[in-house]
Amino acid sequence: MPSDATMPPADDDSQEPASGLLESEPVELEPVIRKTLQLDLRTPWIAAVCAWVFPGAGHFYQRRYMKGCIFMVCILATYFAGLIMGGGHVVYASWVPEGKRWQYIFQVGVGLPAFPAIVQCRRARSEEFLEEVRFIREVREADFYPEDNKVTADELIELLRIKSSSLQLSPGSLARYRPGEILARWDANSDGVLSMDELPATELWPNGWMAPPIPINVAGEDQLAQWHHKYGALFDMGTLYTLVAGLLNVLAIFDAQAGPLILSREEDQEKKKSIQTRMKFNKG
Amino acid sequence: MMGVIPLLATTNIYWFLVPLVVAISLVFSATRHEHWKPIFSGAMRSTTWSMVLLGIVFLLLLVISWWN
Repeated sequence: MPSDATMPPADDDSQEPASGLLESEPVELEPVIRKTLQLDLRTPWIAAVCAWVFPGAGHFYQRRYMKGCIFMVCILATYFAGLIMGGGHVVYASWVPEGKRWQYIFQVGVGLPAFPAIVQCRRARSEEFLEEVRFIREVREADFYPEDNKVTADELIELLRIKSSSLQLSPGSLARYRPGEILARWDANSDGVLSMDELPATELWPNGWMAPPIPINVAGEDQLAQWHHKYGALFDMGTLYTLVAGLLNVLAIFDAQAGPLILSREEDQEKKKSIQTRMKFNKG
Repeated sequence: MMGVIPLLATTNIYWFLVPLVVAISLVFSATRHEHWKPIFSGAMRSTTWSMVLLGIVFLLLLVISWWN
């Protein structure tokens, strides 16, 4: 059901109607001449859902193109700037006892751009991925592992073949993640010599973006602490940017659903008067 | 794209507030008006106010830090 929102203009000096906006003839009301703005919000709940799924989409649906552009540019620029600041790690979904990412509740306000975090969370919590991380960590911690972290693929396969019995691997892990297969994947990223520190084997595609941190990663370290160490204040600033972007989109959703929060001139003047009265009273 | 991180890391953290304040002001102003003119003038006004306020807080903290 299409619905109209009729509201008095505030301090709109401009006489030109905005896109998707109909300006009716001035109507005389008591002592003050007031214009009314008729705004076609089409189906408000569809607009609200569109606005949440993609910033600005709700306004495009309502044919309020200019406002749609403002919301889209401001919100998406803020969100992606924050995401880049934190190396793509500031937006992730996690609700495990050792790390609850409450910020994601607000970040998901931007809709679609924050959804990959849910997919990454499912992938990162899958038994297969955790098994792979455990396997690589155990290989690294084994006594035969070279101190300089560098080994050729053939050497590592040979070492694993000889020493696999000494590894405390869970049943089936060797069968599922045969060293050759893992190394074949790793080998594509190296020139024959493998440096375990640089290998992205346990980073979820693409480069671990939006994936939750692993409590103990392949290097035996807390990944979240590593991110904080690597990005410093940028990690917090990126979190703030993405969080604010989500909150700003909540305002845009309300605007798509109910129209702008315009105060009439009278309301505005009354508000100013009451503030002035309060100030006088306080001085007195 | 990730090459900008080292550049950003060398930037003073206070500069990051400027684009954030501008974006917040624009979106907030857009939720109160329908025409572009009042949106931008409102955004400019609130950006100026916010920056002045933040500047005062910054100066206050700077003065306090000089005393210590």
